[in-house]
Amino acid sequence: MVDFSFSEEEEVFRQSLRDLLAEILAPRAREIDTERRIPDDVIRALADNGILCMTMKPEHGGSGASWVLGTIAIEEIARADPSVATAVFVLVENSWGKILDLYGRDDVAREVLSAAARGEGFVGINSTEPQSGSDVAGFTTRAVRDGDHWVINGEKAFISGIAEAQRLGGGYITVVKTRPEAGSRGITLFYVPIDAPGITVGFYEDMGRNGLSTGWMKLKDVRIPDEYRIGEVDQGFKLAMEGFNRARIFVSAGCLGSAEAMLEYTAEYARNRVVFNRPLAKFEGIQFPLVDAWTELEATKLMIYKAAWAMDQYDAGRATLWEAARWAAMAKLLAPERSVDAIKEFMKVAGAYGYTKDSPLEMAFRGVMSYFVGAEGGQNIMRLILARELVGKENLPYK
Amino acid sequence: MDVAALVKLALDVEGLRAEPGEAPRVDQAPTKVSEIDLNAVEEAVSIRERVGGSVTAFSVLNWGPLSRRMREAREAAKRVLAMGADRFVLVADEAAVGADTGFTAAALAAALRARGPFDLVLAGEGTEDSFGGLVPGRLAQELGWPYVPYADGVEVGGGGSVRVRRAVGDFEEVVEVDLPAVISVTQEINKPRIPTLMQILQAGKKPLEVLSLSDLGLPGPGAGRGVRVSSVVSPRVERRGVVIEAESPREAAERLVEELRRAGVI
Repeated sequence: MVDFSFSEEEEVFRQSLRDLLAEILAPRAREIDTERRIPDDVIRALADNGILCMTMKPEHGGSGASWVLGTIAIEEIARADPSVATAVFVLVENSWGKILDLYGRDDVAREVLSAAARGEGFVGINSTEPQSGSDVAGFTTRAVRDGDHWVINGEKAFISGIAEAQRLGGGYITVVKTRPEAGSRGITLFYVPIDAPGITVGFYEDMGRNGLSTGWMKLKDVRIPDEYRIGEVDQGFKLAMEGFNRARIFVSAGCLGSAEAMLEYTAEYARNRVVFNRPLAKFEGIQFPLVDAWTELEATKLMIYKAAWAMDQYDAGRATLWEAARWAAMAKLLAPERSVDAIKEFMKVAGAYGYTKDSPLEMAFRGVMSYFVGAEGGQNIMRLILARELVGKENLPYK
Repeated sequence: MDVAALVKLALDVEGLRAEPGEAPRVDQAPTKVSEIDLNAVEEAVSIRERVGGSVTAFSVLNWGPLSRRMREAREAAKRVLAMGADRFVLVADEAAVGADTGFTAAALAAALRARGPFDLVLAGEGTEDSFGGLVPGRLAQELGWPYVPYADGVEVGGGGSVRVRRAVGDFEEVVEVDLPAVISVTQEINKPRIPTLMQILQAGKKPLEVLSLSDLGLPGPGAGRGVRVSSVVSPRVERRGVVIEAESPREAAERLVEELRRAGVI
């Protein structure tokens, strides 16, 4: 029989984390957005409470937390900081760090991930290129073997956390071509430290989730020891897809958490604001869109937790990655769009006030938009992934 | 030092719905660990950290229906265990649902005797749903131990006594009490720790024991209702919607005072 309840452990974790975040993060959300930086004490508190790298194995500095627990964490963090900056900091580490945790060399994973778990490093993903994002097989950044090292040349774009990695230390799971002529069968993953000689970086000015930097990276003759290779040579495509699928679930939870917080904010606003001698909430034109948004968000939540549960089934060997990937794609298809749509409705309810920076609505809107436009695979990529199953590979538009 | 902490699964008053003039829908409200009891748990755990020993949490399930409350009780127990308690003893029995403070204290005393001995019992000064504040005192009476209420500091020395600081009105009182004793604490005594993820995961391995009244040799249905609650009614709150218009803040304040006097509020 289907059981939709969270376990006692999951409920206690959610409540404890909510209590913690109400203290350390929620009061700082606007500051994080305007100062464009997650304060060090917030990162330290998340580390002290075992949230950073929580999904890693205990021997690599984590708690071996399930994907459902990780999803709860991201949802709650985005509720507290609806710009989703802090949630993205945590989710990138937890999803892409997991690839190093599972497939990297044990000593490298221990060193890199345990530092990140202590808040003394950042682990991110270095995948997108200036000309190619979702088309991973079309990447041009290349690694060539040179004895017991690899030499990497190329350029990566739209990388989360460059400034944070520079400040805290750490590096990137980097997706590169090792056999360019082989398409997706010639891709290998490497861990590339941010301070490796030959790396230059720059920054974009994003419209939202300002607390976490986004930048680009040029790699010129960057020498990486073979120990930093993750998985087998030329076998990186599957690992990259696994990372994307893991991240999609967390990203969806981030969008959801932000929108949920804004729903609560807007319902409270509608109860308190008085127009025409009655609370705004009394008007059906106000309450009906709020209820519709609530229902859409709850439906999205079910899909997200189904995807997280499916990823736990995969990790336990009871399901294939594709079974988890299907729900992850559906969750990612729903969450950013439903969240953006919901927050737009909330802004209409709050009227001119919702358009100001005195309200958190605009901050949430700008943040969630980052996943509406792309990241971890654009929305149409999710559709292609699902269409491949529904109507068959032979009907894919790019074949 | 072996310390017992009393933990009530109290109604979450924020989730309590009530129409004015009607009884609150108690069965529909969620429950959670009473906040001040978390202070008692925190103090118990910090005493164990300072001087060694053990912490056992005790709870009697007062709110029904049991089918639903057991799940909430297990969540509450997990949180308390994650905070650092070593084990949790839950008295859950349909006959104890709705029990008065006298019966609750008797059930707690029986459970403490069955799982003791203990040197010290700590409890919140009151629980956030009913705030009777009677259970710790009645438990002390059941056990025949001294009772110090409203502690905002507990100092454990080497001997068979503890020093307790109490804020009493405008002055502070320090008393020394021989052990074993029962002490109720205020929220000022400490700040309850928020358990980390690892502590929550490890809490699953700690023992949670569920006892019925018959396990404790206590009487069955019908017992424990020496005091019956006749009615609980949500007060009627009506807004009068008086708008004060004035030329200056001073004039507005004067008119406000006038309105409040007319309403008999001041």
